[in-house]
Amino acid sequence: MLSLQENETVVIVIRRHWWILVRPTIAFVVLLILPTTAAIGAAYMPGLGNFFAEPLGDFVTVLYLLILLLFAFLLWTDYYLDVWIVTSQRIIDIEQKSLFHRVISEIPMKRIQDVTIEINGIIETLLKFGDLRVQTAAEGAFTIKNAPHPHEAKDKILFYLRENTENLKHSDGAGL
Amino acid sequence: MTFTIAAIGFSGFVLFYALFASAIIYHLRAYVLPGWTAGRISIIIFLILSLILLYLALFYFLKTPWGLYAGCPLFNCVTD
Repeated sequence: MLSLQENETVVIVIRRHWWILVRPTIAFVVLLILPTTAAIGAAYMPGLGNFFAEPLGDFVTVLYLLILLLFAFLLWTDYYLDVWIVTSQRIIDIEQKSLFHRVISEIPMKRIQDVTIEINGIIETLLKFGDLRVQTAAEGAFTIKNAPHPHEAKDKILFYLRENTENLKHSDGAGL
Repeated sequence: MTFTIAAIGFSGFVLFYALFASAIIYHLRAYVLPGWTAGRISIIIFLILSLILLYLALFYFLKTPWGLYAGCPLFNCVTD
């Protein structure tokens, strides 16, 4: 999947903060306990009879749980594979838009002009996450939303940016 | 007849599920770096849960008296 060049090392892998998963997890738990609630409710509704006590009710419930499991893992795959890989020479932005839609962009360190972080909100401040934006000379800006510890990530990117710039100057000087 | 229709529907569902499950497993195997263990662990959890639920679905499918549901509204055919 990812082939590193000579003298290139992976510095940091940035994924969105776990807070992003809290809302879908709550929704998942609610949907998970829904069949139980429906079964209790159905016992008091004369029209439904004892549907949930019959094999057909159990069958439908299991199919519902299978769909729920599939959606939960689709969400997890999307979260897990949506990463920024910062190496000593470049930034690789892998955007998992959906299961069959994947966008991979590469930003060489030498093209980076500016790194900006934006922490907006109480939760973002307390849990230390925010948006990290990298401005490049040719391709425009790349943003990773809800990056954990954006200060540390910014410092690391700037460190390797400086190192690459100095290496470039030395190689240019040696060439003259 | 009801059993045949239900069997076709259930087979279609299993096929649809297998397709998406394969796609998830393929992505979690193909696009992870060597050190990313969470991806590999999640494949195992997903497979175990899927197999358990698919087995349960098949079990309840075979246990359901499909013949009793022919020609009567759902929920009101089998009582007690």
